[in-house]
Amino acid sequence: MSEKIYLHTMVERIWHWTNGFLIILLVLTGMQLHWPDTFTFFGAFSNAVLIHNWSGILLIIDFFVWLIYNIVSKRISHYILKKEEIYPGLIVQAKYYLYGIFKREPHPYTPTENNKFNPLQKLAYFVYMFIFMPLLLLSGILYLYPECSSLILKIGGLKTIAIFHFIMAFVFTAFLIIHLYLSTTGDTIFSSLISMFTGYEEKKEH
Amino acid sequence: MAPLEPYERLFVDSDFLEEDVHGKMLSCEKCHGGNPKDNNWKTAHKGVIKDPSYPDPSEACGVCHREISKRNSTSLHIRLLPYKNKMHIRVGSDKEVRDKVKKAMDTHCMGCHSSCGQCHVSRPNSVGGGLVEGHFFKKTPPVETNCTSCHGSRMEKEYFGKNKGVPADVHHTKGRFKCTDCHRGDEMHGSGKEHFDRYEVTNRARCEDCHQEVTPGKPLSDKSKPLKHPAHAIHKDKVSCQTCHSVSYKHCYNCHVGKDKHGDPYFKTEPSVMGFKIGFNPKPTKERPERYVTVRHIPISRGLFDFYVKDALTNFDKAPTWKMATPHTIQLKTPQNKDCVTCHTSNDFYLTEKDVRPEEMQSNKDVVPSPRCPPAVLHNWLPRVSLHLKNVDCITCHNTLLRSPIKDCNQCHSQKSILLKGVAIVEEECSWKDMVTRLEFTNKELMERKDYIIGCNRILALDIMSIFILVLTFVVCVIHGAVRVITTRRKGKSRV
Repeated sequence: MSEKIYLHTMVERIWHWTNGFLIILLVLTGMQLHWPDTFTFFGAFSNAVLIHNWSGILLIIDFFVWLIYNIVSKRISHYILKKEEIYPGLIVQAKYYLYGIFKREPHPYTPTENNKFNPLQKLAYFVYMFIFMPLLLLSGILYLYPECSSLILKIGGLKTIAIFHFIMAFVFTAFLIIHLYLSTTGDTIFSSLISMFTGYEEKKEH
Repeated sequence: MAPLEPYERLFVDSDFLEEDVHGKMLSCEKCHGGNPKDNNWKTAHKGVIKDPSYPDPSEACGVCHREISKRNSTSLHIRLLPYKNKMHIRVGSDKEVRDKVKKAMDTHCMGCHSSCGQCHVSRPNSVGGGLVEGHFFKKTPPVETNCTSCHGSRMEKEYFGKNKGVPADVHHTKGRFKCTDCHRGDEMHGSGKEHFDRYEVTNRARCEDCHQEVTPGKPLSDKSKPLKHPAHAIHKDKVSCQTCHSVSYKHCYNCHVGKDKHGDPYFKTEPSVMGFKIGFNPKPTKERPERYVTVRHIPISRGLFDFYVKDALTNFDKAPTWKMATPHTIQLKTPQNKDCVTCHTSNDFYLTEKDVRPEEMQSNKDVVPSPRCPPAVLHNWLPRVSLHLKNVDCITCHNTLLRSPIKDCNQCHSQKSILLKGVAIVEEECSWKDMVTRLEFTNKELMERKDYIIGCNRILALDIMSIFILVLTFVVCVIHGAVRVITTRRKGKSRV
């Protein structure tokens, strides 16, 4: 027996895939910008610059769409950890990924329409969207328009911004790898992926 | 501008007497003279003055507008003093010759004056006169009937983009500015002091009235358009605004005056030529200290007054025939300001000896700049000069934030390199609105100028460490996945 639960609204799904597409585009163009002698995915260097610039601008817009939607619809609560989810929730979930998953133990936290993420997901997505993403976007804007802010001079010049932006890019790439892998840890390998297209996830009764 | 029909020139609107303060408060004869009580029109009009404001407005306009009237005699529009002053430099000291030149100038040049009435009530006499709007007084003179009726052949065509292939001035295209938005009444009415030429007028229109440099701690005025580019601070008082921001403008060559067989005066010039030339300021002053200015050839020749007196201009060479110009073809981006090297290496935009006619070489000796020196020669003290010039942006070294250009190798080539602190960035305000609406990226400009050094922000140790962490992440995921698959299979088998 299984039932379907509606986890991801249309806006969330569109935002998710736009965000994913832009992040991948930014990573690939960023690789060409950083190592132009090794990677030539987009032809001329100036092409990579232009695509990176515009993808960055679109990512800013995409971020605000997500933020405003989640605040207005109050779905931002999905990203906020409750007290019991911090302890013992995070430990229980970590133990599951480190040990229980190999013994085919059931997921300690099954998603519901009001609480779709497990504690580790909540923590990861919260840090991703409220700390890493703003820092990435801010460093990108400062790097894009250095003449528009005296902040750059105060924090050590363009070089500092460049290095920080580079580190953030690696954090996002690492996050992307982990995110892709963990998406296979649902009830079936593709169940999480399918739910990001349809919005529904099958809830199996164990 | 089409000439007016005779009735249009003279028609006084009856509303003028009821709605205009001058019409309501003053009867006609108060300003124009004549006798309104006389029933005979001929004797009634005896002593009538067409323009009561010229040459002395004190008895008419000056009764109410006393302060402006007092300054009337110093207004360049009224007195045309620069014409006289500059011509007198070229004319010898012989009194007889001077008198004949004066007569010629009175006939051909001095009729182009204006007056209170010829700006605020009627068209200027030099273009046939005629009331602008039924004798209504216009506080701000209309551009098309008054300003450009005299300043039409050069200023109007330049400002409104009527010269083929030359864009209109940005103040017209973007701001729709009228002449009077920059050239205010104060400037037109005279400063109260006599000036040799218009560049000495203290209350003249200046670019800096609106375009101000951003100085830390100094607030900008309400109408200010901040000057963002660091080149402004570098070139301040050395290069005129027009040198970087104007495009092609009109040059006139030769001029002869005379009278035809009917006794009517005429003048004859060669066809005008469009062009752009940077020259030395022949007479830097406190008001105009710039060394480099735009220059134009003026309509003058040695035989200008030959019809009246042969070889009158014995001191012809004492003044240049290429004089400082302020073209009204202002653009933000021009061919000469696209980068530093355009002006600092090429002679294309400069007045050269080739541009000056051989017979005028002597008079322009102080105006023709010396040929540009190639940057490689100017920077010959640098080791590996060509490599530096190729890879280092001019402004990186010639930065206004530094007291003097970078000359010490260690300033750049050291662990505490000044380049790491982004000295090339000038701390200034920037309009985010402008940035978004123009849809341009700073790095696009850097790329076009080839100022960006690819790979300049790479740190090998950071690259290696980051790639190692990424690979490690990937490997951990693969191992985790593999263990999942193996344990799942074992569990499946044990169930069977």
